[in-house]
Amino acid sequence: MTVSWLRGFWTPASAATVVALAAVPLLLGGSPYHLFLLNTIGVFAMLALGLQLVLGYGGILQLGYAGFFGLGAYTSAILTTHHGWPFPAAFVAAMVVGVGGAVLMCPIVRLRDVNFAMATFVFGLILELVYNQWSAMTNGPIGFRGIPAPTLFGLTVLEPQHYYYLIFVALVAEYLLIFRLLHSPFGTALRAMRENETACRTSGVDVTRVKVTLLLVSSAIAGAAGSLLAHMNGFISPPTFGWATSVALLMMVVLGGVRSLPGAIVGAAVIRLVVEQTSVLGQHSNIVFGVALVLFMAFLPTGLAGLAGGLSARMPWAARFGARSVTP
Amino acid sequence: MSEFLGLLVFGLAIGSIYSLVAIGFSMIYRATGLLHFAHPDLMMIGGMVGYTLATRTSLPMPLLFVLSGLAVAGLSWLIDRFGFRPMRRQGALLNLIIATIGWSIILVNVALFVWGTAPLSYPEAYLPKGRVIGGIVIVPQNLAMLGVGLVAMVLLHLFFTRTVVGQALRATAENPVAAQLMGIRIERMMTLTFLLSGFLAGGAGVLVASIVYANFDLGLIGIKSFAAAVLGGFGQVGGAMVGGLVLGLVETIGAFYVSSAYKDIIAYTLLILILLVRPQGLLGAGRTRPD
Repeated sequence: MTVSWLRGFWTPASAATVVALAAVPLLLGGSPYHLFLLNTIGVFAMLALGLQLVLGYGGILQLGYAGFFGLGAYTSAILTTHHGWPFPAAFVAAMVVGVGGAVLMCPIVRLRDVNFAMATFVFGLILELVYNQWSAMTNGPIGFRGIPAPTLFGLTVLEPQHYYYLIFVALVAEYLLIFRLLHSPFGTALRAMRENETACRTSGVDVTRVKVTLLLVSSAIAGAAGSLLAHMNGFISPPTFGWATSVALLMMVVLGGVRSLPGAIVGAAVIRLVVEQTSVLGQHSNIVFGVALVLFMAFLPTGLAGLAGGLSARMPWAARFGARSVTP
Repeated sequence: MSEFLGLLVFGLAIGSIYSLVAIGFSMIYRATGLLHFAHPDLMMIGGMVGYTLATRTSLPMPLLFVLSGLAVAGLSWLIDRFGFRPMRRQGALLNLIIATIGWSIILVNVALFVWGTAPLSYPEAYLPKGRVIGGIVIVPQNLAMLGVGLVAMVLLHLFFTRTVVGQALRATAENPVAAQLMGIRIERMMTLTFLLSGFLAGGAGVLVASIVYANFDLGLIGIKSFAAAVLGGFGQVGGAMVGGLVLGLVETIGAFYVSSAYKDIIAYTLLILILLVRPQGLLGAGRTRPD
């Protein structure tokens, strides 16, 4: 069955990937640790995809993305814990508040390049400060505890393998949404804007509107991811939503490959796995990230997806298996 | 009244530190178009080097300022020479900016590795002490900081307006292509930019670390100098000076009379508002860097 608006999405490779990912919990059995790791990767993959949309396809340096992740997490946590909202309502509210935050940020879209990047950076800092300082709502640096497990259709999602499917569905839905956006006239406008903003404006594209759309959509995504993280961990604290996370997300996009959707997911998986490993190694391990960021930017700015794309160009047979990055 | 005077001096002293870092930040932006995220961390390294010198040698403060400045200038040059210059040839600005974030992470972790995680306090002799003169508490350190800051700014101003090299630097910042056509060797000017901005950041690091502490997260204070640079209009040296002083004052007085918990939020909100209302900065003449 091919739904027309998803034309181009279902290739043998993508179908196989979706089925394989759906089967992962069955293969892993009941190891809660691995499932938990996998779920965390899922949440960060959602964020990396959202940032890929803004940064990769929009060419906009959004340096405060983790702050919007926090908006969703705190909204969902506060509504379910203190006000007894059911999870689905809180989830939607998290997305709405994420969008609300982006609306506040909208005036800055008329800034260009460096000023815009600076404003997003500062916006992220402000949000992190608010999470730390507004103790009455967020419980400050100590963190927010006791966030309930989500209940859907009368069932409480407690088991990590069930939570996996919740995140999986959200991730696939997000992927399809972004895929669809990129293959619409909006996607064409994005490409034109990235190539030459002035020429794009003179051709009648409302660049401001394109940028606002990007910010709103990506912030809704961050809000949703925040809600999922909050209910998965049951505990949230400000550092998760600060500059360090914004940098980690940036690295996921860069490492996976700018302007590649599968790349963002792979980047999220690699970075989270490295974080897991290096937290065992000790406190100086972050230097790995710094060095990786510098080296990737200098020698492989297209990331892993670029590497895969380069390989498949040299080996045409590999392209049949889908080693081709999506670059509309 | 005496309370207010004390705040005024302290605000200006902190502000002059912001100014020193902001000037370098602005210069780099003007010369290379780069948003240098590792610049505040260079300031942090300056504070750390100053700590080591102070505990090992107990040199006087001005010498600490100069020596740390020189060390950080060297570091700044190394990062530019081997980190940024090869990438400048590829010409992707976004990639370069992301690379500066990488350098920031590297510097922080090097500092963690060398100096550890605990905040380090400078030896007793370097710490600020208040003296009561005629009912007013005067902290000589704050006055000295303000003095050092102002002297450095005046010297820089003379350098930029009265010397050939200074004018060449400004020309490079204004329009690199035209400067090159006029026979200015812009790579050399960029090297000089990184050396000079590194020196100022290193010196500022010593000043700030001696009144607060030396620690790997000192760069967070330096980040506010970004705000100072924006306040003054990106890339204008005079603007960065004034921006730093204004920010220091607003923040100190705001913290005292409004809320100390929210003083950073005040500073950052001010920054965004100024970006929106006057993207060219408080002193800017309505002219921004050509794209």
